[in-house]
Amino acid sequence: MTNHTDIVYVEMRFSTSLAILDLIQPITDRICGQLGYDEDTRYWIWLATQEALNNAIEHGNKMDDNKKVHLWITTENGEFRIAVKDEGEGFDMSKIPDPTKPENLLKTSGRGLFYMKSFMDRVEYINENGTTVTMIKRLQEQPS
Amino acid sequence: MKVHQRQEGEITVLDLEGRITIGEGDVILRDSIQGLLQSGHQKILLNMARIAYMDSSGVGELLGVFQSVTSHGGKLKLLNISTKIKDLLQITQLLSVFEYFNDEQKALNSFVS
Repeated sequence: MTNHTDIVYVEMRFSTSLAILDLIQPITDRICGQLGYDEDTRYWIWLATQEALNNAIEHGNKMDDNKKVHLWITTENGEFRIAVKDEGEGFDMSKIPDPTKPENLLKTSGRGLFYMKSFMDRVEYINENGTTVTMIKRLQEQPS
Repeated sequence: MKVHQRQEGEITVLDLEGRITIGEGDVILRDSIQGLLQSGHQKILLNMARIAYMDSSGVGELLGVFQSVTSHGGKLKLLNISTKIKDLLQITQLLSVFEYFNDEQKALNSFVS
């Protein structure tokens, strides 16, 4: 039986390409499974992670394959953290409009961050040499 | 994503299979709908029973094709959306935008009533 403390730190760096999503999904899912998240929670964690990766690839690095996307997965103080960093010019996420407001409801983009916030407990972002988005989920209680 | 097209009277049913995500499925869906509109098909039912996964790009694409069909005077409805896709649409308050069904015959009948 794997304990939460067995997995402390995973770091990856990869080229700007949507093709990497299929490589990262099973890794993220495996880690979430070992941490005891149920199937539904793992599904939503991956969706939030994919949205962050999509943003880093498309909006951050603007599909420039000379730039890298960085991913960190850590557990700390009872929390699971996934951080995604791009090498773009930085982006003020606080200025992204609320997609549920009537004037934005039918827009065909702008929901990624909303989904991240909906499916994770917290989302933090820093603009410093690119944008780093950190998504945090409390670890689920393990049956004793 | 794969798209299988069939005709049920005046209604074109697209049986979708796979994922509607950024770079996969989104463009295929858009092109399929554009092709139908150009050939005069305006009553479209998207059967999503075999869509296992959709991200925000997929949601955006679904909205895009819905608006495209509506602007051509047509109707686009959804069939067999999964609980998780329903959740995605619900939390962004989009579920009420679409007309959706779990029963194909009822969905087909709704186009004529």
